[in-house]
Amino acid sequence: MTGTPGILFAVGSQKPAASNSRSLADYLAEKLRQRGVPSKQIHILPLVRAEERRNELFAAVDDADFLFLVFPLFVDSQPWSVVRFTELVAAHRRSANAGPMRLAALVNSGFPEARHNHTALAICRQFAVESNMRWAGGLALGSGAVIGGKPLPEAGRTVRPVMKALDMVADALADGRDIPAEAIALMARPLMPNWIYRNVATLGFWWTARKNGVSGKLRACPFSSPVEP
Amino acid sequence: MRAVVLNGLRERDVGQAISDEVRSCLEHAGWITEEFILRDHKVAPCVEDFGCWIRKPGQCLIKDDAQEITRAFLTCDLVVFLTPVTFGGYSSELKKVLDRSICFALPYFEETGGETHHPTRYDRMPAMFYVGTETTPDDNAESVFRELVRRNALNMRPPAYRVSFVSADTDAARVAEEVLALANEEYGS
Repeated sequence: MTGTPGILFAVGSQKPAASNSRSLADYLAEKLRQRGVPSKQIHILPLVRAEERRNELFAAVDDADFLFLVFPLFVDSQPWSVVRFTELVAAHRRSANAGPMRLAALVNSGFPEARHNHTALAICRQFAVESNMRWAGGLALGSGAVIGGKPLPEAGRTVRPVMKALDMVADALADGRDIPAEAIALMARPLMPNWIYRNVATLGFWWTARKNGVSGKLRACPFSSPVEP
Repeated sequence: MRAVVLNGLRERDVGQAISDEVRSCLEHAGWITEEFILRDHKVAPCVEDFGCWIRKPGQCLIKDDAQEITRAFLTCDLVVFLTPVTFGGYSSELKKVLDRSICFALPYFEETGGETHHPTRYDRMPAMFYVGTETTPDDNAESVFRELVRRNALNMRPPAYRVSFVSADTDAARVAEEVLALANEEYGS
C-alpha cells in the first residue's frame, strides 16, 4: 500500500478526454468526497496501451480496497481497453496472491433500454469471482448519450434520476454497504420514452453527417465494392 | 465458399490445434479458408468517434490491419471466432477487432423484438461459429458467453450461429465437425 485505501474509479471510455463515463465517475467521486470517502480515478485506455505504465496501473489497484469500473457498452460488452484491464488485473492479483477487495460497475449504453448492459455486468461479476473480489453490485444506464460528456449537474433535467441514483450509491458506499437495489432500479429507469430517444439520436447522427457532407451516403456499403483509397 | 478464422487466442491458451483442424476439415469439403492470428496484427482500439457512421460511412478512419480483417470477416460465408472464454466474454485480442466492426451497422435506431438496435448496413452477413476455450470448464462463464453470443447475433444478424466450448482434453476434430455441420446446414454440402 502506498496511500489510504479507498475507491478506485477505473474509467473505460475509449475517448481521450471528456466522456459520459468520466462524467458519471466524477459525480460519484464528488458525492463520496462530501461523505468523507477517498477515491482516485484512472483512465484505463492509456494505461493498458503503454507497457511501461503497467506498474502504475497495478499500484493504483493495489492501493484501493474497492474497484469501481465505469465504462460504455461496446458491441454488447466491455470495450477493448476494459477487457485488457481485467485480463491484466486478474493475472496480477493471482500472481501476487492479493487479498479480497470489492468490485462494482456502472455501464452506460447508447441504447435506451438499460438491459443491453446486463451481459457486460455479468462479465464484471465473473471477473470478480476469478480475481478474488467480492461483487458489490452493478448499475446499468440506458440513453447514456443524453449526458453529452458534460458534468452531470450541467447535463440538464433529463439526467436528474441518474444523479439521484448515484447519490443513493454514495450513501450506501459511505456506510460500507453494497449498491442498493433502489439505486439499480432508478438508474435503469428510462430517461425518456424510447421512441423519442430513437428519433432524437437518429436525427443527431444525421445532422452531424450533414455537417460533414455525407448525409446522403449514410447507407454506403464500401465492403461491397473495392476499398476507396 | 469462403471461411475466415479470427483467432483471438494468446500463445499459451488451450485450443491452439483447433484452427488448423477446422481449416483442414473445411478445405477438405471444398472451402477456401483464411486465418487471422489477431495477436500478430496491428489493430488500434476503436476511438468511439463514430467516424465510420458520420464522416466516412461504412469505413473506419483508422488505417491499420483491422481494415483488411473486418473486410474479410464481412465478405466471407462463415466466420469462426476462436477465443479464450475471458470472464464469460471474449479475449482482448478478439474484442479489439469486434469493436472495430461497428461500421457494419447503420447509425439509425429501430425497434426489434421489443428492444432498440441498429439496422445492419449489409443485407448479407456470414454464418458465425464461436469457439470458447477454457483451461477449466466453468458453467457460469459458459452461460455468460452464450448470452453474449446471443446478444451479438441480435445486432449482427448472421443467418445462423453456433457456440462450442473447448478445454485441454477436447478433441479438435469434434469441433471441426461441428463447424462443418453448420457450414453444410447453411450452405449445403
